[in-house]
Amino acid sequence: MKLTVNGVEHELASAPLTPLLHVLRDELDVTSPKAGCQQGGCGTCTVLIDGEPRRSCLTAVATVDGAEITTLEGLGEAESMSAVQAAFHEHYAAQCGFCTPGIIMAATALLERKGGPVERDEARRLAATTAAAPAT
Amino acid sequence: MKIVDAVLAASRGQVGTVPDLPEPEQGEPDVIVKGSPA
Repeated sequence: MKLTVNGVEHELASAPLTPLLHVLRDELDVTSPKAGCQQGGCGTCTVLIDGEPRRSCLTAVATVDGAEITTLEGLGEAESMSAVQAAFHEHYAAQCGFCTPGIIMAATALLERKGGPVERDEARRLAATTAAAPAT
Repeated sequence: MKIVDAVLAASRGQVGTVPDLPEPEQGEPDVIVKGSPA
């Protein structure tokens, strides 16, 4: 199996049913996707699979053979953050930081899908998926 | 809510330049952040 992760192609050794999350973290040392609830609820493992946000903890790696995966590491560097990363930095939106990679990946996908300004309700719904705080 | 504010700002392109981490002052440890703590 092959994966292209953040622009780099990898030949994988993991078993086909291994969750993508563990392939990323344990085989490829890509550690921004976090192992939170590991049942698809919390979203901290969210990555982009061919541009769509998906829970990597519930995705068997064989089902995404040949796909392009984007994680937080692929969005920007400390010296050149993406707009979403920079906005989280400016607004102190990281909180403890554990689930922030998943939130930023979901926000990035939302903004790419919208292609323009989003409404406050849309942003609140996204934030509500984190379970980190009530969407007030 | 700060997450909401950040998403709204990013969607409107209202994001300024992010300064780099401050340099450690004299006597402070030089912390190198690499990878993820989790």
